[in-house]
Amino acid sequence: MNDAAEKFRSPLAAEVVGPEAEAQFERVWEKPSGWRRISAVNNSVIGRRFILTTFMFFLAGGVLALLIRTQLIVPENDLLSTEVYNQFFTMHGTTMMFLFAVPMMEAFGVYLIPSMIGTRDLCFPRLSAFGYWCFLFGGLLLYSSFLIGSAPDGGWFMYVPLTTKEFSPGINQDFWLLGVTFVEIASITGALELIVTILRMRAPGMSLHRMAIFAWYMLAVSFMIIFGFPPLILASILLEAERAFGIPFYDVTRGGDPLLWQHLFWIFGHPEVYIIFLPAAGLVSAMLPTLSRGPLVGYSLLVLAVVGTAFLSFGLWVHHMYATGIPRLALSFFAGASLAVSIPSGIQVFAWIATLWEGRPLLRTPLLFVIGFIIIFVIGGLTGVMVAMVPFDWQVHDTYFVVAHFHYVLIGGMVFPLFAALFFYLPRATGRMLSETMGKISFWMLFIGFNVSFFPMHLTGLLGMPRRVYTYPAGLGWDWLNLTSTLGAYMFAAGAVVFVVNVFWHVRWGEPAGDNPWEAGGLEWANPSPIPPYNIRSIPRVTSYNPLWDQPGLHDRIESAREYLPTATEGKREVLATSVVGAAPEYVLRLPSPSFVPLLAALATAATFIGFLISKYWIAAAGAATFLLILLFWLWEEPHEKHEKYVGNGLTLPIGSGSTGAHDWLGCLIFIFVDGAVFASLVYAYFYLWTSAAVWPPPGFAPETGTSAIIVLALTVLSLIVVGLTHWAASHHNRRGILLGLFLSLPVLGGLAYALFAAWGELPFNLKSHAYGALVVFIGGYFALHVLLSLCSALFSLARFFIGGAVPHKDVSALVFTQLSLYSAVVGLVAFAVIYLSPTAFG
Amino acid sequence: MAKPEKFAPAPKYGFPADAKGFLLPPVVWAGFFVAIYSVQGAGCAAIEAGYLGFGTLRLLLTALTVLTAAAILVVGIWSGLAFRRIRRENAEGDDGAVQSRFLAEGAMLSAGLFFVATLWIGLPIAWTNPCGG
Repeated sequence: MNDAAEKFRSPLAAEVVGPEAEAQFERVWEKPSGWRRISAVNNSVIGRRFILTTFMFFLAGGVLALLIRTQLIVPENDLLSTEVYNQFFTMHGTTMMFLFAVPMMEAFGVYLIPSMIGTRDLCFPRLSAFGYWCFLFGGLLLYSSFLIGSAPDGGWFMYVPLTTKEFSPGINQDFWLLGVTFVEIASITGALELIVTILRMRAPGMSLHRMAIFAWYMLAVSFMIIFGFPPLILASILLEAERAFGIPFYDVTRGGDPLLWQHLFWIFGHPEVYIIFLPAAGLVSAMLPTLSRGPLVGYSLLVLAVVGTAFLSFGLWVHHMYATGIPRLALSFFAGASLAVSIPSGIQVFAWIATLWEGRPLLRTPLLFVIGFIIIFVIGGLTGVMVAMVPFDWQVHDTYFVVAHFHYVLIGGMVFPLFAALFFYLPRATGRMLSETMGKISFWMLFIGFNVSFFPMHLTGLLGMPRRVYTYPAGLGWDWLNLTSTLGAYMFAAGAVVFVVNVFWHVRWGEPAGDNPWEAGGLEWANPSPIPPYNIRSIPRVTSYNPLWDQPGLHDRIESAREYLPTATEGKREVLATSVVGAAPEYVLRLPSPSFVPLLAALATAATFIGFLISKYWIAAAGAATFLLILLFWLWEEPHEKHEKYVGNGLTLPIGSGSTGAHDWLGCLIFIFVDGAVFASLVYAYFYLWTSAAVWPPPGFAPETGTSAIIVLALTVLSLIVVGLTHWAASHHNRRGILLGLFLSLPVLGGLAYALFAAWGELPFNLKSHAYGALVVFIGGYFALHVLLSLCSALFSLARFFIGGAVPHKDVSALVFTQLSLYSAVVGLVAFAVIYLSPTAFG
Repeated sequence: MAKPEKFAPAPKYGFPADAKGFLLPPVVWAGFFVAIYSVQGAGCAAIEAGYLGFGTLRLLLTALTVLTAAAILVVGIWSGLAFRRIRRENAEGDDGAVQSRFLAEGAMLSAGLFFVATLWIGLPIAWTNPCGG
């Protein structure tokens, strides 16, 4: 420990945990066994499941890639038909982006973050389990399309009009739209709880400036997911609504625009590249100090790079659309942002090189993969700067040059760090080391195979070979380049097979890893390996960025239960909630035990999606209703048996919190961000179609501000007053005020729902006749849905106080209601302005 | 029972050496990006409808860029001065001060990055037709 930090450390108490308390602690945290294991919610179990499942999808996507490359090995090949080839390349891209790259990185977050920040689990363990089941079922739903020969075939980008009902009448694209949306639930739930966990559950003293660097990366990426995924969810809902019910959004003949899909898709799609890259770069930043036997160079600069990339990545989406006829000045905005994002990327590369330069590198397999990553990623980054320039992009747009570029970025930027991390962290999970010999063989096969496969594609692209073609004629100079690429792909696949063999081998024959095989300094190594279900035996005070290096004896104090929360005397799983910036302990947070609820909720969600897929809407409705019932059961909590407890080292803390800023309040806030991003995308769609339409609204479509509309506005404003009253009472823990506010809100929200229904009846158009009408109904409907959600929230909160015995300073249900209702009112006001005011204000 | 340990729950100094200051440059830049893209789109529609001239649109876009760059620059200089002051006034061990110093340094560095990003995005306004394909 450095001397300065040591000054803040009071002497530790000599509190000894007896064998009985020790046994109870183990019992509370143990994983269920046998078939009940599916009810486990621990992050270590869920994280491992996630990593394994995503790796299986990686292998499946890899097999599809090999089949694609085999088809292209010679000109005029007929191994795959056009239809099958289209399905394979669509599912290859979809698998790698949605079922492998993003979830794999989130899986690492789920698995590693709690132990890196010195806590025992994620803050919403059942949500992680729910996310995993959604991911698995969504992935299986997508792959089940192969069983009926109807796999998606519109490309992983699903461009309209190719994917509209007119040009794709089969069920193929519906599998994609519904399956991917289902899978995205997992990404969002994972992001939500990673944010809350990182902000509110770090070990005491782990203030932002000494937070594990991977946590910074995951924090930024989680926010990117929160704001980046909703546009695609909305775009998919709109396309599915058009395909299933004929409601126009992209149909030019009815006021829609296919380019709207491209905008919404790439507002998601470009940040996604960084959503994939940043966590991988975070793993590199986390491993490098250990692998180079020295501190990480430029911690503050790396934090800046991560935050900077997160923001800049949202200003790049149009660089996928340079060839769509957008005005040149607008293109230059995105070109400028595309060039600016190379600055934080460069900062990271130089920080890694400096860390290696300053240290004494340990040239083991993980470091080989890290070096391979830096080389490949820099090449991909350079071609990225090339395609960020509009004139160059116009030359190589939709050619194999672009295929080469993004594989350099994605395989170099994500797969190589992933292999490094698997070599580095697998011993922590299994307690055994992987074979160095096999590791080095697999590295060289992957590295050489990758470059042999993808480097020639730059040339194939420059020679004019377009992407997504299932074959090509001989004699255009593409033959030997394609042959080389295919041979490289086989070599790459062989390298992956060697890695898989190594994994199987090490489980049985690998050398025992011991507690900290790499002599690392991070808290994730402060446990025995394989890692116990509680991650960390007692929760330490952290005074350094590398606690195990700088705080002598910390490992022993953690293991001998002499730090915080050493026991589980009430038979509950407990962690500490700490302040956002300084990580000072604030309250004891109780976590749920194993539960089947997440699995049941995911099954109900699956029923909803399958109902839509097969057009049996009663199944979808039944699934949604069941999900709602399960959700109410899920959210119901018993009051704590006492209000505070002694957590060790002289500190007594309250159990739970009913205040603004508590972890569940924060979770709800993040959910509202997701919801707000969906609504913002909907409003964006409205104004985008306006700018591309000749007349907006079409003649006879503009709704009049009639009696119902005025009542809606008045009740929305009234709901704001009631919400304000309830919020004041909830913030002051005033039970009477809370109950009064909740009771008052019932007629206001009920009346609002009724008035919205009446206003809908007054609309002067048919929903299916024009995109304007469709958007007006969707925007108004979105508001109505949130009014109903607020009503449910008020009823739930009332039930908590009357039946559940909730006390105001321990229960956030009233604060959650005010959050949700406030947000609903804001949605209502924006919707009113868009529907009733904008046509006259800007028309 | 041992004496409770002491913690610094929040940074010792206020804005810009806090979380708000740290996030301000990227947030300002994000607002700028949305604004410049929207103004350009809406402006071109207004030009087509005859409500606006090219010169006015170019002026609007330039003003937006200059104002944003200036605002980010002010935050950068302010946080740089705060960073120096915190370093001068505090001993190594004050945890709240270390938090503030880290956040002030972050604000200063991110102001630098987003100042450059703003200029790169805004520069082409000087020579590119605002609505030309």
